[in-house]
Amino acid sequence: MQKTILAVDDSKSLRQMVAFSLKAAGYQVILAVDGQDGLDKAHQHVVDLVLTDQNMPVMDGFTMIQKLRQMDSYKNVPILFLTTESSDEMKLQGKAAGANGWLVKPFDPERLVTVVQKVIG
Amino acid sequence: MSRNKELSSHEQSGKSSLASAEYIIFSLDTETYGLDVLKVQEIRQYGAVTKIANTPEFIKGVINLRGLIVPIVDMRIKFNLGQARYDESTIVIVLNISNRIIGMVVDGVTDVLEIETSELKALPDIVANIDTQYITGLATYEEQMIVLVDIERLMNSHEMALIDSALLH
Amino acid sequence: MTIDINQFAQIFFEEAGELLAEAEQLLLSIDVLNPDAEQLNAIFRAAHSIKGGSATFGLNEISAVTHELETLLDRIRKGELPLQEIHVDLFLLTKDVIESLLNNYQNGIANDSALVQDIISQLQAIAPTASVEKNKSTCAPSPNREENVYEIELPASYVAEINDLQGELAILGEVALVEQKEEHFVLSLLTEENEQSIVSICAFIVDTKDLKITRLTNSALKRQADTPNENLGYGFFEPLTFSGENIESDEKTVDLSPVVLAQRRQKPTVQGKIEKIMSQKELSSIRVEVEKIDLLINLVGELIITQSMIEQQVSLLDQKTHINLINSINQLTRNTRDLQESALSIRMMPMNYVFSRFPRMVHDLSARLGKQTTLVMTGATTELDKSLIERIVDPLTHLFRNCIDHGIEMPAIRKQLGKSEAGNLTLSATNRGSHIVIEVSDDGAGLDRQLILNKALSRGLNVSEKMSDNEVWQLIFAPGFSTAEVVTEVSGRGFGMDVVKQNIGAMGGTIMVKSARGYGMSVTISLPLTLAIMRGMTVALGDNVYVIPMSLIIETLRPQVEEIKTVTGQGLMVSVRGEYIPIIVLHALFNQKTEITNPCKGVLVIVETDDKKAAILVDALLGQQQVVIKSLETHFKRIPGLSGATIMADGLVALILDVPAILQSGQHQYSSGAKQ
Repeated sequence: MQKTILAVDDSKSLRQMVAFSLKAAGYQVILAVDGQDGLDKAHQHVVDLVLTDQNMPVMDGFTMIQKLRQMDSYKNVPILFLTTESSDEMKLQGKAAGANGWLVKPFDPERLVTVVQKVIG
Repeated sequence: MSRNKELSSHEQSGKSSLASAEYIIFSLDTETYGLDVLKVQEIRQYGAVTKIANTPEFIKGVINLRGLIVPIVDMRIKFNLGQARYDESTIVIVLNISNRIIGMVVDGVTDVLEIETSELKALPDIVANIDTQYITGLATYEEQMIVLVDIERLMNSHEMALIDSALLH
Repeated sequence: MTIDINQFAQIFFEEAGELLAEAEQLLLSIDVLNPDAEQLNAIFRAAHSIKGGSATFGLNEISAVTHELETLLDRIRKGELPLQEIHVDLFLLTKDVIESLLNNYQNGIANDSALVQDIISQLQAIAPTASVEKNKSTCAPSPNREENVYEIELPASYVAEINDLQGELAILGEVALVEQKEEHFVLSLLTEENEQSIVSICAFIVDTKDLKITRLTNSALKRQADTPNENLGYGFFEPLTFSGENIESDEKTVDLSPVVLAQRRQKPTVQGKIEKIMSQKELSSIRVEVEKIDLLINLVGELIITQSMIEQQVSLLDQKTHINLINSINQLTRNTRDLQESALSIRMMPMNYVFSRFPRMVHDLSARLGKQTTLVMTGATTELDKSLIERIVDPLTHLFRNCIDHGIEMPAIRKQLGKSEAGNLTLSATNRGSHIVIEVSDDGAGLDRQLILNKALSRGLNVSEKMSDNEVWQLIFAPGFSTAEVVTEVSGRGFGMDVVKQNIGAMGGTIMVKSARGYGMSVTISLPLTLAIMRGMTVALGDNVYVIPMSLIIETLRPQVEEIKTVTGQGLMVSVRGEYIPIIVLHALFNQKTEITNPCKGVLVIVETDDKKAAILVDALLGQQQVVIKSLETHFKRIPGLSGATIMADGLVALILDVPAILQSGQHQYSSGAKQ
């Protein structure tokens, strides 16, 4: 059965790239433009993995992750956040928010697919 | 219908260059003139002109040329050449000068001639009521004197009052 | 599998362009003394996004520049570096540089590396930090705070308290439930506080002896990571176990109250208040060449003419025998009208297209002249025909230059006068029926009446002290007129205002000036909404047919003898319901031969423009129709009194009256030709 990924990023070019790459790898992709939109989409769909940027308007990534974790259906869904830095503080914050891992930007599509496959197969 | 000038001393070259140019020959009253055929878009009969208020008399007004609003000037009035008549034989030469379309009323169009630059004769002081700055030269054909007019310069000049003076350099 | 990402590059270019425009707008409107946190965040995010995107697509120069920009912005938004005017100026300059880099990339032009290096140096130099680690990323560690992650473990008996605990701990920092197993659960807390504080908070809810608190050090965190994947660019916090363990939890829905959330320490997260300057919805639109649209509009115009020709022919037919044909023609008329409206609306664009460039221009110009200004713009959504939009930019630009250069006083002087140090400029656009009204105003010094009169006199213009203020203000539109003592580089060369007026006139519009010395000045421009098509009344005058815009006509009438009065020095007037309206004898104004010289034998068309009423005397009314406006200037020139021409159904040319101009000149017109 096809797995579904929710990708949240305020950059249109990045959303398109992620969607294209993941769909080519056989996943279903749902896109959201900010944290609030991501929450809405999360409510509406059943999702196997969440990828999210951190810096977004309306609601940032970490806040969204926290809120997702409060939803029963998302307590155990793997969540990865995208970041341009791999500083310890960033990782700490991510972990504290409830993320399972991170992916450093910029990434190429191959790495994205590799990581996703590692997580949900 | 283009004929070569009889008195040409050079071989006619295939391409038109500075050596020669084609002119459309027309008449205003008893005088004969020529202008660069490349500036001519078409030839029409005179008719249905809408007069425009407070414009000089030689500007007859505007006409509808297939949807375009085009001004008509009567050179006979402008240069005081005889009595301007408007009948079935009155012709309008429609000029296209740098994408501006202007109609010019003349008494008749006779021919299109290729005239060599070397044939052009020097200008006397006064030529047929037209300021010599608008004349490129004189030519003769069949014993008639043809005044070759720099029509672009003439139409763009202040005195023709066809363009807003603010736009002139 | 290789995926070519360059197909997305174009989207990035567009996106980056929009982000830069948004950032510029924010930079211009931000209050340096008291910057709004959300605005700072938005600017930061714009730089951050562009950095990420440019790195993804290999646009390294942009990435390098935005990296520096992002670093500075991050420090500013975190409060580590106070925002100053010099920062804003440098950021605006950086925006320009990034824009040009983007353009060059898009067009395959090589970038000037010296330029790039220069802006990077400027950014680095403007606020140097003690430790600049060029290789590490931008997140500057806050030197005074030490944050730690604590893991708080509690036995499962407390599972009902998870929400309360999270609520309380949230006061100290960021808390999350990271583990929930049958025998225990674990909360993680990122906080500056020490363990003691955590214990005291939890003491309200649980028995502290059941608390197990572990502080994670960085090394502990690192150990937790799956693999040190710095080179791989990703990592996980703990072994992935997503076998779908279903944890029994309370049916209670989790709901951290907003109050608790608000108690979280000020982290630069933005929640919902920002008004998005660009819409997030991806509106579907396509690009079309302007020539294609113009052609389409022309064709629609020709269609309308043809359709009215048919209408005219059909109206001569017997109604009964041709009822079907007549009905079909009526349907055709309705269809054509709808098509026309639709076609015209394609050309309409919001004024914002014009407005958007002014904040930056005003900012730069004010800075250059040592003045302070604030600009308020309203009505940016008002729409105007595309061709007019493009042509209004220059006149408006000049008006602003004038305001800032000559109108607004220096801050010191303004303070002396009791005005705010920053001059107030307003730009507004509103719809008024078939016209759009654009106003540029300032609260500066206003026009100096005496100065203008003196200047006019010295130039030999025919003026007198008795002239009304309005007439004096009109003098500024005279060619070569400028009262500026010193011709500045910016304005004052003196051919500005008259060209402005000419341009507005060429667009079929009017321009008016109001001024009050010491208080300020306002310039009002009125433009027709579209140059293409309008509803007009056709009238006969001698051999000519003229068209008067319906929107300006109040009524038409044939006056009675007793309603006509002659007022010495003012010409003929007609009395309409007690009001005296000046008669404009059109044939006299146009020097046109006509049989009808007696107003009582002709028709008076009562028109009204912004502030004037008049009765135009014509021979007869011919009808009402849609006319396609053709410009006289395409192949001829602008004629005073006419705003264009049109082609009638019979192929003849009719001339469209420029009513405002006629009213203006008609005032000085004596109707000597009219007889009682």
